[in-house]
Amino acid sequence: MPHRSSVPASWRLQENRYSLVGTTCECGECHMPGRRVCECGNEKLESLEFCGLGEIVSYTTIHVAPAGFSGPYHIALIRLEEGPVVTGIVTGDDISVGKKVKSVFRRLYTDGQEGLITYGFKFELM
Amino acid sequence: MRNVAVVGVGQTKFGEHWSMSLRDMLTEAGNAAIADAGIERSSIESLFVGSMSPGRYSGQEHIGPLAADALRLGNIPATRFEGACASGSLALRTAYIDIASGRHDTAIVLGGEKMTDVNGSEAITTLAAAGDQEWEASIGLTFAGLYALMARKHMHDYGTTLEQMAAVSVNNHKNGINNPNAQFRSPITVEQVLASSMVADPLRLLDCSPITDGSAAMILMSEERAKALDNPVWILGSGQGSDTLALHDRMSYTEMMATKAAAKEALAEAGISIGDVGALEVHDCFSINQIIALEDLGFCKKGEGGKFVEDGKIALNGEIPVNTTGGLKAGGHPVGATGVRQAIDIVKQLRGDSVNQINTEKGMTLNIGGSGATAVVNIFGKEME
Ligand SMILES: [Zn+2]
Repeated sequence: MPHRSSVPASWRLQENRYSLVGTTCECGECHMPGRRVCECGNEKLESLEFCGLGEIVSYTTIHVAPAGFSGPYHIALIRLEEGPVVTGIVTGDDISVGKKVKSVFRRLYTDGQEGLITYGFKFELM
Repeated sequence: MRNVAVVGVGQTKFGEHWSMSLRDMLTEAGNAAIADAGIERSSIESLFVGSMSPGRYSGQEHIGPLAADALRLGNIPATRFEGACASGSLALRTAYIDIASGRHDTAIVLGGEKMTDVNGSEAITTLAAAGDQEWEASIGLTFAGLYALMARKHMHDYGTTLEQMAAVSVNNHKNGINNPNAQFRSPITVEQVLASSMVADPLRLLDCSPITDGSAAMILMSEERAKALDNPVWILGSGQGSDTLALHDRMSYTEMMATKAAAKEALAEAGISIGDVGALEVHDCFSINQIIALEDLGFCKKGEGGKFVEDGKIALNGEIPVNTTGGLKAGGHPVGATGVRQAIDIVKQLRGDSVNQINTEKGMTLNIGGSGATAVVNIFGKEME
């Protein structure tokens, strides 16, 4: 599984993953994850740091996990206050649709005992 | 565009084939289709093979020529098509366009996946790559997890129940009993589904299609050549649609716009309405997806798919028989082979040699890739357009 844990791949996504940085367009749309082209066709997009507050649209608890992860853990679709929906791990137990969350900086993935540790945003129930 | 017929079909049994490689399975299915058509292999002019990830499952890319070589088809053009779990239907659709356009007169379509040479967690990781690697798979979201997110939303918005989702698996297992090619041929109950182990809440093991080895194949021919053969079945229309790769970027989490686009194109080409379809194969990779598919294709209103299934409307003697030989759930889901296998089962219904024969003139397949980023709909009929 070279993709998830490769150093260049993690480094490229560092800014977006560490501080919830996406893009915004003069038409008013904003995007998280960031994009290079807006739905309106504009290619000149600015960086935007999202405030990290959002609401759970749907969620699941993963019991059968892929290689490198161990379940159970919650993953949710989260509608950010600025509009876009992102996928994120949610910490805390009392999860349900409509609950408010805020983003926190956490370890996402460890590639074995001595491998690269990938950090990024997770969400905490408020 | 010319009329195109299906003149031969063949497949391996679906299941765990420790003694067969991807090459062995593609060859067995291809040989069976050639024999069923009763043609010489030298008359085949092009090859189309669907496979999601032979590189990760078998360490082998470039399987177009691999299949042509194994089947002794000489120097004909041979190409692999990839659209995650919709790869097989993509290969079939492209072969259809190849023949319809007049470029070639006889083509072989193959689909195949060899999934059990890697361990279970590696298989799950590979399947998850059908989603967005950077923003879904990388944080530990599995393929089952994506559909679980849709299931939870469907339950929240429309009151769909766990029992209704379980009824999908019960229906498909019942239909698989008579199918000698099915991976599972045992009936299950709603209670058994609800008691099976949790995979991605609310989806349990018996809501999920299995990991499977298998291959399926079919011979397509131009009208001109097919008229000399017995019992051709005609391709009436084909459609393909796409949507955002990541689920979170969609307008809706309970509706697949790619399905709607594909169905619209296929129905328009066939010149029929959805009510004319009498046999349906849909993509039940997870139970919720069969419910969403029935709604998106227009067999019932959005939100009413669960009740539609629970009321028996999809049974063999129901309003619209669905997955009449077991679907992906009981039949098995060797990813790249599935779309071709769906088409084979519709063709058999139309030829009158299905293991669960129903009476119909037209049938449809819906094959979905990823969490709905690719959808392919193909329509077949007993008679030409
Ligand atoms: Zn814009």
